[in-house]
Amino acid sequence: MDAALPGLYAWGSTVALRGLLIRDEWLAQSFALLSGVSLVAALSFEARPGRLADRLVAFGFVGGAVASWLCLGYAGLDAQIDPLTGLTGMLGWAAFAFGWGRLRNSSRVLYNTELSKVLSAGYPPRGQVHPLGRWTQGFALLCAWLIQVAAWTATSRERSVLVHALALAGSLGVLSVGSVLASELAVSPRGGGLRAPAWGPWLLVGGVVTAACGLQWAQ
Amino acid sequence: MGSVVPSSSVPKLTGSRAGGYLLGLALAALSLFLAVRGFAAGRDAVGVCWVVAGVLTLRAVRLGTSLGNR
Repeated sequence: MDAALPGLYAWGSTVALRGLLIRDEWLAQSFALLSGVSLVAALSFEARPGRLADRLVAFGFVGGAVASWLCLGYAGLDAQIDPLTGLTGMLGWAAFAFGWGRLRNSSRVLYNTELSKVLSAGYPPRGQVHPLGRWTQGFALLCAWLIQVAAWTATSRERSVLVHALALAGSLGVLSVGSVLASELAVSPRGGGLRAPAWGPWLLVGGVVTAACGLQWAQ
Repeated sequence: MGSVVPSSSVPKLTGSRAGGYLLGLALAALSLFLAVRGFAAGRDAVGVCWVVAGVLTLRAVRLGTSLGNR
């Protein structure tokens, strides 16, 4: 129930009322319906949510809602959403996110019992974080903050939602990778080297080439 | 028998490799920053290019640090 009620409320107030009730918008209606069905399907796994339920929530429920909003367009949303409904709907989405997270954690009791066995077996503790790891984390935090600042340079109201969504995703990605990098800088009790996959550098090359294309396009 | 080296003193990621990944993180962050600036200024094509560049670079750093260690 932690996730069901907020999820249904969020879907009902921000998706169903906008997507389902607008005429001549069959694509928006379809995505809104897909979002609701995915939510109900994911909630049916409430007793033991797994990867399928997570994907239903991420791609079906959230993805369907976003697609429905995109189909309606900014003008359609502007005409339909009043500030109070938007605010309470947003709180509903936040409550659903926390509720779903709690549901996922409570289903990991098995892992916790396994962890206690591992700890009681007397394995050596993990290594300490290298000072450079803290600097790396701070650097990632600074980058994430700068990306957020850049999002506020959007002057057009129609673009601000897209720009802020992109900035949020980008900041989370930078923070996530920065954290992984910082933890890899830790001093490992077991030692061992780090091996990059053979095709990993090609992704980096692809990124640089695409950036160069972007620069060329900008000129 | 070989001598036993205290493994707790062995860092997992050191030297130029650590610097390379930090540079990759910085490049990815810069790409995403420019992508956000591009979209904010209304230049969608440029923004898309920077997004792709940022995501690919970020993914490369992530794969190199985590997946490659398995």
